[in-house]
Amino acid sequence: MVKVMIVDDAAFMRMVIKDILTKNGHEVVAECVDGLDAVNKYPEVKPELVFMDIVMPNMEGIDALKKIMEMDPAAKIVMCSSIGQQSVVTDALKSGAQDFIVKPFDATKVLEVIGKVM
Amino acid sequence: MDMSEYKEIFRAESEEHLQQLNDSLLGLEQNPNDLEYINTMFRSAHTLKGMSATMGFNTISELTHEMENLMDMVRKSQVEVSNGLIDILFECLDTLEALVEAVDSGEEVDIAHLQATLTQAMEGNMPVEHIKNSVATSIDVIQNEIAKDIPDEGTKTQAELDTVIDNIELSDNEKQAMQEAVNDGNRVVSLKVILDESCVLKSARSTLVLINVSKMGDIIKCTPTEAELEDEKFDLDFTVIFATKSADDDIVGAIRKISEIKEVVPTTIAENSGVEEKQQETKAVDTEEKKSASAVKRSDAVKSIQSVRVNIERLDNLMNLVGELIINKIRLNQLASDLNAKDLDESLANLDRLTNEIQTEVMESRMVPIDQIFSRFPRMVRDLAKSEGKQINLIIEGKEIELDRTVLDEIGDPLVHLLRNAVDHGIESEEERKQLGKPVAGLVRLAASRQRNSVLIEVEDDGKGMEPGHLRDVAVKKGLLTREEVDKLSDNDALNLIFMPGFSGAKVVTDISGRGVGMDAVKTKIEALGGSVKISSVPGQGSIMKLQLPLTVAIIQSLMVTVSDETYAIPLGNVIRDVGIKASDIKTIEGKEVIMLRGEVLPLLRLHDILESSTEKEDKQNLIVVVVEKMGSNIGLVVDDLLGQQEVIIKTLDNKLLKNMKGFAGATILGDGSVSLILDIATLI
Repeated sequence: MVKVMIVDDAAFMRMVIKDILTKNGHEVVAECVDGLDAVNKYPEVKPELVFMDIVMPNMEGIDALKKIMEMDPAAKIVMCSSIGQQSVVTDALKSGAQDFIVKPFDATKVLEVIGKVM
Repeated sequence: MDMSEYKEIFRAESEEHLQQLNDSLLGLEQNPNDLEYINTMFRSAHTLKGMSATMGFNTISELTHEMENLMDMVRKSQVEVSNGLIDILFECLDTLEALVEAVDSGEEVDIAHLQATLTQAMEGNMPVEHIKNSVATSIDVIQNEIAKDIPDEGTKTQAELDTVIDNIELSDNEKQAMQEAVNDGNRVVSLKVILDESCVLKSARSTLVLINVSKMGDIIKCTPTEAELEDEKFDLDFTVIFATKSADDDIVGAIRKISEIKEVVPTTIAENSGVEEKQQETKAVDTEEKKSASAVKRSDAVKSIQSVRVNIERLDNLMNLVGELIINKIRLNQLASDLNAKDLDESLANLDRLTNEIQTEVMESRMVPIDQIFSRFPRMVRDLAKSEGKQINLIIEGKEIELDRTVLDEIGDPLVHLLRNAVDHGIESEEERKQLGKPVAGLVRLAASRQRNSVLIEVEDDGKGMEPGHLRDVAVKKGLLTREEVDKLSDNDALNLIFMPGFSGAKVVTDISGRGVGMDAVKTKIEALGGSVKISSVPGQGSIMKLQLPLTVAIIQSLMVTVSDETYAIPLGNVIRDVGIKASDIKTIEGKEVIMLRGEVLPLLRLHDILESSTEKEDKQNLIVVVVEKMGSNIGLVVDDLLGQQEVIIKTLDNKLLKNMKGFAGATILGDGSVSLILDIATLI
């Protein structure tokens, strides 16, 4: 079981990811509505893995990633991107993101990435 | 993966984003230079794209993808914010709305035309794709000859190498680096990586491979170059040459841990003979950890909304259950007092308090801000005004006022109608306003305010108002009333003529208002909710419509009456007063019973007859009359007895047998467990 924090401004996406995780024995320890929320909650909930959306209000995923990596260089963060975001994802990977998944994703992809990263 | 269970939340959230897009676009239209609007729209479109792609709604994701591209170009000042652009984007939003709506029906919406328009908008200003000339940087072509340059005991045979490092060009610098690496006891490995065909972000995937490779050694060369990889200028495979001390198995293992990798083929192209291959821990992790031991100062905690979405059906059920709970509580109270059980009193008092609290909480949880329907009106009024060549300032007040979800769902159409009337018939044309000395821009005000137990919504305009005389003429012309009848009406009553079925105030029926739903429909709907509509108007200065609405429809205040030993509930919203009369005071006009009450002729109806009850009241001399209002006129209902005022919980009659029954708004269960019907005055008489 992996303790996961989900960061996405869309409640719909959070719900989809959360259901995939919980149905497969993982625990969602926090849901964050934007990057700022994620940066604030990360030290509190200390997740083992973070699913981070990229385009969000208040603070974008890439900035949240950098802030969290500063706090905890061992943080495991997987970026949730869309088609057409190559450069941001590349930047994120260079800044310490463990992996990324591309929307639309299904349970197989999400679980595979957890298997690979953890 | 079955996505159908997410449809509801997908729709709800999509609608929020559509609203946001609409609002931002309206804002952008006003302030074309404010990029924040574009940024917000970009984010919303992007989020919609991701959500719809996840649901498998490809049309939505295609459209939002292109909108996103267009907005990105606006952001980068490659496309100018023009009226044309705003119109295109509005069209996109309408189409998106239709698409989201069609999610349930699975209807196809054709977006080809719109896509073409979008492409034009993007191309009209600047080509989207422009291809960079990539410059070859390599100097030497030493195909098939790498191995010869390096001391090469234990390396692969020439033939094997060909397959792996074909077409690789090495510069002198790179050859130098290889030599040095080998001298330091490294192996030089050429790693061919083939990505999965399903891989979408190939560049990012290759970056991830390179990051992992660099943790195991030093990259000497990459084919295609790293820059080309980042620009996604490669097919599915790439080769990286690097110096490492890791064993092949570890290398393959590490790269295979990355998703979407189809194949990893390592080939040693140079190594120092005699040097034992040692597995070494990579340093990368250590150094990274050292880098950032410094604690990061936490910014102030941000408020996050902790909310869950609940299906409205759940809330309905909950409300129903609370109703049952209250009924049972009342029965318990009754039993306790019958039994005279003092011990029960305290716990019953507690139960009382708790059920009251639950009731309040459940009712509160059903309340939603009226903004949910108000927010779509700016766009509607804008479109209306534009199509009629009018200028209109829409002022919205009290959008934070909360109403029960059920009430809110019902008042959307009536409000649309009232606003359309205001813009269409109320506000004069620009020239007319100029001549009258009014400001060119018409004013439409939509305001909600909380009264004690109800919400007041006002729709006001500063247009031409209504002329009672004109309304009388129309009523006669349409054959609704005779000239005699209308002449008897007071000016205020004449205004109420517009609520008569078949009456339309417009001289010319435009395509905007006067489409079937008349003012009578508005009034019927509001009254069915237990509310009321009032109208006032000053010719030349404008009109104001006042809708009074109950906070909730689940629980209503009722007057309990009996007819032939049956108890009925009359919603208090309909009741004007009750009076006792003598049978001898009843007069007959044209065979119908009436009574003079405070100087007015009040038609009487015997509830006993309407409900076709069997037994009649014994005392036929002293009658009790409940005066109710229907369509602006008063009617007296003769009942057997008044039981008093009570809060009743409505149980709707929505099963197949009963739902077409007229005259009843529903049923309720009384404290003693008996069922009583709630009269619906609008359809009963």
